[in-house]
Amino acid sequence: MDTIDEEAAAKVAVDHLDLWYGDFQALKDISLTMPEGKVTAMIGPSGCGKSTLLRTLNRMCDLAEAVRHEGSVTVDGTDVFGVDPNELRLKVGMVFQHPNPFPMSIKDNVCYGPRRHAEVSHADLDELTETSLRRAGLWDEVKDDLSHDALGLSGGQQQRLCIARAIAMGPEVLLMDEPTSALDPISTGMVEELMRELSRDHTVIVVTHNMQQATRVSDKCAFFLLGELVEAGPTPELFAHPKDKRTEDYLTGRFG
Amino acid sequence: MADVTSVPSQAVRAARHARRIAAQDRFATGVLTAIVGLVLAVLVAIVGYILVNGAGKLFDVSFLTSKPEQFRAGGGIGPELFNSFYLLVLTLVISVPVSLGAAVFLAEYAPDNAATTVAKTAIETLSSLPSIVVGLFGFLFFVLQCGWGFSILSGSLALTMFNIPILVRTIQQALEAVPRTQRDAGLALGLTKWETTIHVLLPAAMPAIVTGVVLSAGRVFGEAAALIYTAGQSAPALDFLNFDLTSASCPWNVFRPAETLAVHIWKINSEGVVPDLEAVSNGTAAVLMVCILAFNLLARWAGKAIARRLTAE
Ligand SMILES: Nc1ncnc2c1ncn2[C@@H]1O[C@H](COP(=O)(O)OP(=O)(O)O)[C@@H](O)[C@H]1O
Ligand SMILES: [Mg+2]
Repeated sequence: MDTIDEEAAAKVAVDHLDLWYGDFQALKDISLTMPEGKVTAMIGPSGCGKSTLLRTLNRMCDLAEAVRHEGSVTVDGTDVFGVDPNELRLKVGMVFQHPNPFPMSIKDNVCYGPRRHAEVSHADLDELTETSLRRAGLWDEVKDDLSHDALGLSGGQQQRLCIARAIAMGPEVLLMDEPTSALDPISTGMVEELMRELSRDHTVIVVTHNMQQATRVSDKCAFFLLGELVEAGPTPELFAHPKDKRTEDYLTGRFG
Repeated sequence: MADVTSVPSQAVRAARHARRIAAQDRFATGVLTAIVGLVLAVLVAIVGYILVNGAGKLFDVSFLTSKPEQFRAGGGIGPELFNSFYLLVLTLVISVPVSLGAAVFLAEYAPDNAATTVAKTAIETLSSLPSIVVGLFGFLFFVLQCGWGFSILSGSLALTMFNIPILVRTIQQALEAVPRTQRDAGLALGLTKWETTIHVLLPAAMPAIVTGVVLSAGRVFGEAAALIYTAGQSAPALDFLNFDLTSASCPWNVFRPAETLAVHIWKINSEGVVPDLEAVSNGTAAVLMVCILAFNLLARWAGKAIARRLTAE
């Protein structure tokens, strides 16, 4: 069992982060690092702040009303609150809980971001479409239907298309918020396999409420409760020997 | 034995319940079908009456192209037909961009504060303002105050005031109906809020927007009260070869008075003296109605076609 050299390889680091929605404190003094080229899972009961933390990493949380934070979040040592959010999001991509392809063709979905951000030739777009769809494990299923409406795909295919759309931008970090909770078991299996593969080139951070999923896909796991980080560590260790009583209770299903 | 017959078993009760529900369902369906049937019958009666009475003139090319007569029979509605379309196009050219801007602002950018609430309430109120009031305002302001007289310009600005609130509401609703997840998807790809609005939200809302615009065009086209005191009640004969924009017979001159089809119907019925008054009035009504039906069909077709194009290519 690998242990992770956390400090040396931290791609994303959260340091003493507090976050409030108005008067409500959703995150309490969170300190956590996400190692480069690994999958980090965030688990915990619903409402404990997993999505909130994930959305601070690409500053999507800025969009909510009356959000306020203290503490720091860095990607490659750069404070995310010090850079332009749109630039940050080129580096930190995101896949959502419900597949949200645009109402256009499969190819246009994949090319959407690159087209908006750079002058790319048609040949490049063709190549980008193919590599992105291949890496999202969707190419073989759609290669003859690239001009078809993305909304005609099944839920699982749509979610893999959203993954292809995100990786076509060449992000270094990929955030996934319960990416399989709206999918059937077979699609879930495919997306889980993808997370493992994507972590070779990307730092993957995934929120899940499914503990089995966390054990299957993640190298590092963090357990949250009521806005607090209870404990974090290499996944096998956290599951085998939880240090905190609350973690143990949650993992053994005594509450949740 | 007595127990079994007096206390129905669970299964019997469930079956009775199911029968009662089914009976209610049939009754409700019957009542609703009858209501819809009644509405349809009234509609068909009105449309049929107008079409049958005006049928003779509807396909009469000289009626559609010649100018109206003051005292003799045999006048047409050529200038009125042209004026109606010209006013409509001018009105849309002004009101669509303004409404689009206002709706995007209200739906995407307006902070959630008192000023926004006041603006939204004002638009709601304006959209239920009686059109004769809009017309009187146009008369006092555009015709008299600005000195534009009874003119196409005064008329189309009055129609713009009448059209903008409805368009803003339709477009705003279309934008707000685009799921949140689409906004998130755009922003997460590093698009700015503006880019997300223009490149993700507007295209997604476009079918509903186009349908709304074309339907509003139907309302504008048939409007009379807002025009009586703004675009005026006279239709100078038009000479399509006259490009002198200051001449009253130049079709494109926006400072000439321009009676429309709807105003024409009102005018000949209130003060007309031509012997074939009824035939002209019926014919005009039929033409007006066919145009509005065409707008409605166009609205449905355009909305669907755009939705198809957006998704297919
Ligand atoms: N935009 C928001 N405004 C106010 N409160 C919010 C907002 N988003 C989330 N919250 C609150 O913050 C807490 C954490 O939410 P979330 O991060 O979505 O939890 P999780 O993803 O773990 O289920 C919840 O109590 C939720 O009600
Ligand atoms: Mg969540």
